[in-house]
Amino acid sequence: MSRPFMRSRRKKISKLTRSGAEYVDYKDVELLKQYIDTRGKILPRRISGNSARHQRMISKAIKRARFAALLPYVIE
Amino acid sequence: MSQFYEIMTIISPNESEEGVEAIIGGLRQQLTSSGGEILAVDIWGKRRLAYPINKFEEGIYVLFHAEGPSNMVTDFRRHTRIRESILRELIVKLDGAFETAVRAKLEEQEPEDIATVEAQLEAAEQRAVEKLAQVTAPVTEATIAAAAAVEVVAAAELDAPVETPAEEAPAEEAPAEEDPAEEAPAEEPSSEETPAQEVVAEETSSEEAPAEEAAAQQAPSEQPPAVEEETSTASVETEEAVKPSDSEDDAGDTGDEEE
Repeated sequence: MSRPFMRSRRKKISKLTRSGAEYVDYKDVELLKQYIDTRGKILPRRISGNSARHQRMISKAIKRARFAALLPYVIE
Repeated sequence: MSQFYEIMTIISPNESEEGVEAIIGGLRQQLTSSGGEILAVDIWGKRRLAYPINKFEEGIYVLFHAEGPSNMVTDFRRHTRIRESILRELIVKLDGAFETAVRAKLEEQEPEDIATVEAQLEAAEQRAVEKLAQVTAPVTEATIAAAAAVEVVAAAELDAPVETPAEEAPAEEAPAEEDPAEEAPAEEPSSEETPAQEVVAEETSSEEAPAEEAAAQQAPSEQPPAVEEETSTASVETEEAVKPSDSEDDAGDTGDEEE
């Protein structure tokens, strides 16, 4: 059963997945900033377009960066 | 079994330069005394914190790369926890691609290290020669003037080798000049945050940074610009990949995604 009014949205592929990064450095704040929203939350995969593997790496790196005060936990 | 670790510490911005050096010396000693080998020490310098820690808005970041047994980590943690001026420590075990990348980067820096050490040695030598010249010079006024001239020349020569490596490390200058007293005004103690240090235990910082320590640290501090460089080139053209604004209201759309 296909859904008639399904919005066709181009699947976004994160550049990480495209370039096949093998690791994500938690010190790379500029990169990580692209994967948090305006409140400082980690973007979900459906928006970031990360593969599962890259999403894991990104979220781990973001959490480390937060602990090291390189990234905020919340942006108010 | 020995593992490769990256250890990031944040030191209180109140620490004086000597205080920071003493702390770093203590940390190094701590690492080596539990069987570790320090591969690099990278002082990032003072950097703004993303959120206040213990009401500090800034912190001095120091990054270690060390190889050692797992008890090195636990020993290190114990050491840092009781030191109030160490705001944070983040210890990451590196393996796989991350490890190889970091190792490659460290290797790259090796030649530079040698260059700076050589420059320092040279400078020291020249200083010694200069001193000798001064001692042996007879004390007529004419010769004093001459000696002064020589001294100027020697000083100029001295400056030259030291300066060249320094130019590559502008990061190193900045933190040195900053006044520890100009600490940021404590804003409202921000919300939850920080399981950090409620430690009361007072340790007289008995560890003294050996003098060579300071010299050794100058070299690795060239890292930050290099790191930034590489990562920024990697992160070009990602912009369109991320749309922060619709993340929250998007929950309803979930079903739309094609399989």
